[in-house]
Amino acid sequence: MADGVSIDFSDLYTLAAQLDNVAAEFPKGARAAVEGAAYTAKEQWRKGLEASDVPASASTVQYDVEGGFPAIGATIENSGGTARLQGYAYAREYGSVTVSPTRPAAAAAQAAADDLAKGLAIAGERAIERALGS
Amino acid sequence: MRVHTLAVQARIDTIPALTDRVFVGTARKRDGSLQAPPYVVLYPADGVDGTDRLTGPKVIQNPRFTIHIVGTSGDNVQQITEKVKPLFVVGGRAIEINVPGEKGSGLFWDSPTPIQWDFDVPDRLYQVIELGFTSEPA
Repeated sequence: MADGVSIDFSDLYTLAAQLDNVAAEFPKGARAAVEGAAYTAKEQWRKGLEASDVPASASTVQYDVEGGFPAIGATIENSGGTARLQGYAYAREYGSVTVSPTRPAAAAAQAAADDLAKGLAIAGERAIERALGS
Repeated sequence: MRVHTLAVQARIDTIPALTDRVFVGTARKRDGSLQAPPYVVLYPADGVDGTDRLTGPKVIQNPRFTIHIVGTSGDNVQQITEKVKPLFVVGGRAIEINVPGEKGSGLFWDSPTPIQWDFDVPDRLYQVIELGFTSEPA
């Protein structure tokens, strides 16, 4: 007659090791999410400017993704093209004494924020899937 | 929403130098000419409404304003801005803008760019302010 209870923890140890891998799997997906959101912001902003009276101002919009996990950042700015086109893009965004603001960059940032949230959720799911399959 | 715009407009309108000089959308007169500075122009947007719960009726509104503070010189613009900002941010703390039936919170005041000069209107400069807040059912 047995006088004790024995529990097999080996699966739990395996699961713990697999979950540890989530942190290693996540950064690649997170960077893709940031890159995707930055691209969305750039394209949306460009479309807003292309629909304006000076479509060439769309050429001023550029973006860059920098850093790595845990701090990945993207900069989207109207730094390209001529100063005149940059000035037009500025006036389109913030307005001037004679021009009303139309905020294409703000709308683009909103679209990018939604994209980023979706992208990070997907990155998280895939990181867990990959880690559990490791 | 108009009610949010009126709340912001009424607040700035209390400054003696800006009484009846806070405009919405444009500062042009009927003949197309611009008002003489100083003046303030509000460009309101309703922002994107949010909800805490998919199943709840509560809608959180996010009114947004691009504000132009227009003056005759850089110093003049800053003098006016110094009068306007304390109406919304007092001692480093944002005020609550409450409209009937709603409670305001989370007000922000941003000055995203330096004071600008408009090539087309050389006798005046302007400061861009971004103002926004959250308004939810009281």
